Amino acid sequence: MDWGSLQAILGGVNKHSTSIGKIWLTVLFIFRIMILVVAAERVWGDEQQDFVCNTLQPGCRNVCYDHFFPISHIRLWALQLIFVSTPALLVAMHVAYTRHEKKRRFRNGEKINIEELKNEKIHIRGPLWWTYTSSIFFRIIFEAVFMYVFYYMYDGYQMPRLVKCNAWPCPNTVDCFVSRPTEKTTFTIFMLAVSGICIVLNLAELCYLVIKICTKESRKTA
Amino acid sequence: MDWGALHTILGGVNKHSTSIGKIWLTVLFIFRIMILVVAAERVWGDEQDDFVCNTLQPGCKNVCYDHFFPISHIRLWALQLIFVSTPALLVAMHVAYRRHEKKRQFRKGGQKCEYKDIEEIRAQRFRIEGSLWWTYTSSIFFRLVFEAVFMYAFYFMYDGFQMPRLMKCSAWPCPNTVDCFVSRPTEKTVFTIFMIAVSSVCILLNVAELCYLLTKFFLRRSKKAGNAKHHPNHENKEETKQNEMNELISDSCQNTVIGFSS
Repeated sequence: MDWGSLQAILGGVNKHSTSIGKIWLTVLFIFRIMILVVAAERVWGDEQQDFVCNTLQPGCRNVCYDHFFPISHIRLWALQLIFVSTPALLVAMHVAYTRHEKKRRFRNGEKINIEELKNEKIHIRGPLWWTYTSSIFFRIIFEAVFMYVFYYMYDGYQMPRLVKCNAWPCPNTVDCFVSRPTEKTTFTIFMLAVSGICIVLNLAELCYLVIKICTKESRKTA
Repeated sequence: MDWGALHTILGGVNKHSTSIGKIWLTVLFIFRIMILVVAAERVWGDEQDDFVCNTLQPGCKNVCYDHFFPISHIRLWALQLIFVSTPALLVAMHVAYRRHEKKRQFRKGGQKCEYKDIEEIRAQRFRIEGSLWWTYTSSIFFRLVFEAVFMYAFYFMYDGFQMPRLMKCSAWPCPNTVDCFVSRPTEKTVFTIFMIAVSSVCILLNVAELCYLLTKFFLRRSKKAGNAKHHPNHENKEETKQNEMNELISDSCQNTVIGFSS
């Protein structure tokens, strides 16, 4: 169960998305998940091994590392990607439920073609519109929350080269040096930028859906 | 044989689950197994290498690590996930047994030739009734028991769910008392609490599913008691019609939440 399985699950949801939704999914998989797996994980791979403190005191390095990096960037990004992908499953569940209801009506004797039902593209209308819109709303919320958590936890998006640590058992104040700070800053800014693009795509999709429903309502009344 | 294989096995069981069961399976795979594989295993990856003790005494670090971490969190979670997934196989076995019986009847050329060929028997989705209901309900009960037992085991073994930064160790051969420092304690605490929270969500889903099944069972019983009074032959016709419907739509029952790859 890894990123590939998540892609398989979300690939099915793609069928019922708008065009902007499909672009969002592509950006998610190629510019975020793939970058995370092929590049970012290697950059952060030696983060604790090569976190060096200017002391011989055993335990000082562990404690300082834990103090400055409560949760690693990589784990935060993995959690962010999982949480941001999950609202799409609400849509998948709603579609599955709609199909199930149609089959139930078929069982009760209504005339519906079963083959059509299997391949039918369900349009984003009625209660599905609400589910889809809530899923986009939750996506935006999760993205924003994680971006804020990053900013709050690491005092900005830049990785410092040097951190000064005086947590016990370190004697007085100790200089600790972070491994690959520039590369980490580059990737952090890159992932932040792509998060920003995803938020913009989600907002655009939200606006598109709202405009669509408003024009449909005005056409109905006219 | 890895988590992917478990996914394949349980995906098949998904077809015969209730909606709550399907949600439970999604939560299990995405919020537990996936988090374990992509995140938690890296956090605990260097747990012994970066477990540092303030001593030069050889063997002290090993002994202290073994004393404070008899079984690693990662292994406990892996065991928990396997034990919790396994009762679903009871349901799979029961379904397989029913299919086998129907195939046997079909081959013997029984009176009720409801199926055109063996393929339809294979693809049929069974309703959760009769003996299958008992199997399904026991599987949920066992899931609940396993979840609770493992959560208690975690709590008991590690004195709560927080990972301390420092452990004082005085096991032989460590001289007197030695300070030992755990690697990444905050990150570990965060993930432990996350996994406990998702376990609790799964327990709630299982309890909800159990209540749903019990309610359905009692409603069906009261309906049957009502029907038996007014229509003694109605039930058989209903069942035959149900089986015909099931045949026709059984192969379109692919759109489960997990199996969306089609």
